[in-house]
Amino acid sequence: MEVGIKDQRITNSILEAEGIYFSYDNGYDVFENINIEAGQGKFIAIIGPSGIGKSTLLRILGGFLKPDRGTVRLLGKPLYEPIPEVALIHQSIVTFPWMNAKENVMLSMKTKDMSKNEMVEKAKESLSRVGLDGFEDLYPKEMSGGMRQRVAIARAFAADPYVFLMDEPFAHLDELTAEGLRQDIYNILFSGETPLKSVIMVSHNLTEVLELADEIYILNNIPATVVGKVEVTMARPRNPRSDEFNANLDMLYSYLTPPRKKK
Amino acid sequence: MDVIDPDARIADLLGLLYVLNNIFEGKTDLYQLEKEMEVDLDDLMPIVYTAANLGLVNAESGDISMAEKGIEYIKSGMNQRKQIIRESLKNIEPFKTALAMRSFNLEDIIDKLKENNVPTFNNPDGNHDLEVILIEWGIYSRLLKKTDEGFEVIS
Repeated sequence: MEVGIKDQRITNSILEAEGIYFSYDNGYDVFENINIEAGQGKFIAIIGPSGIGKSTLLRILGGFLKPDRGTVRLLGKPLYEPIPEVALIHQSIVTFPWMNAKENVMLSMKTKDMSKNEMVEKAKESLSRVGLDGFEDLYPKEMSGGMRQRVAIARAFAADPYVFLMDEPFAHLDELTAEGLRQDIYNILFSGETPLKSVIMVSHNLTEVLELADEIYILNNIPATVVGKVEVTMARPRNPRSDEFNANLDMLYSYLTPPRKKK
Repeated sequence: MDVIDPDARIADLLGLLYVLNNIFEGKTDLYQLEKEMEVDLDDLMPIVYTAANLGLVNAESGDISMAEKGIEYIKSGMNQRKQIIRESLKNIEPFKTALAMRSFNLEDIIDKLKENNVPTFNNPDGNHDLEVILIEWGIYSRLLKKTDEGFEVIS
């Protein structure tokens, strides 16, 4: 599908959602006028209370769901359906047990005009990028949860996406593994060695969000609206035990607990 | 709108009040509570919103503190705790609607909540969420009892 990737207009906006409204079939209004913009080189996080529709929003941003109103644009051109330039990484780790790491990664290249040798080389390169050099022939059952999530990320990388959409990517990992992967991931994503331009992650872990994000959108209310947007200016690497980090956490919680109206 | 959050569990309420009262002496920042309880947003906020709606805590601008009713709850025995919850539920949904209906099945109250513009349970998991809330909070507190047809308010 033509989305005008090669016809970039001069803009800082990589993926943007403008005026998004969405309802379930039974009439339940999920989103009301959601506006989100992921700029060049930005790691965007979306947070909000349980059940607010964070994962649904990510699916709309990826073209997997059509909003009732509003537009999603990639590099200025409307996005109507899923395309390889926008990769979605799910919270449940998706690897195919009958394929080794290399074959799992090669899946994302099946639609490309590449020879088998080229695909193998690209898969090895992607696996190396996520720290799995030498593990190309292992099967998922021989890997830890963290390694399997790295394979899933490598597979997304191999499609040369412009945007990563990450749906609670560390949710099913133990804290130690998640911390290790988080420490690597920002550098991997923005190493400059790939076409990747922007990342949007939804998460219910505010510490994780503050470690990674440049900008945080806060959703609240029914139907959900953006109740706040925070730019995180802390220097990297960020220390979750610092006073500055805690002050930012406090600010995020203040958006989620607005002053109650007097009755 | 004051409502019991579909993900709020009674056991979590007790945990929240104990930690807030005993570890933080009744008042703290929500992020401190999150760290102490080793939970994340999806675990913490449903019970914080619910406790606030029940009038047991005050949660505003990132801070949380025990309300008078919350302190009374902590100091009370089992029966008194149930009574506090029972009285508090009467002012918030879906129990406000349940009280007006007296006797109802799940479909009836879903329709009535829609009529009353309560959107919380109007989603694909809404029926299940509502049934869990009615049983866990309503029957626990002895505000409701289960009947063959559905639920009935205990007078």
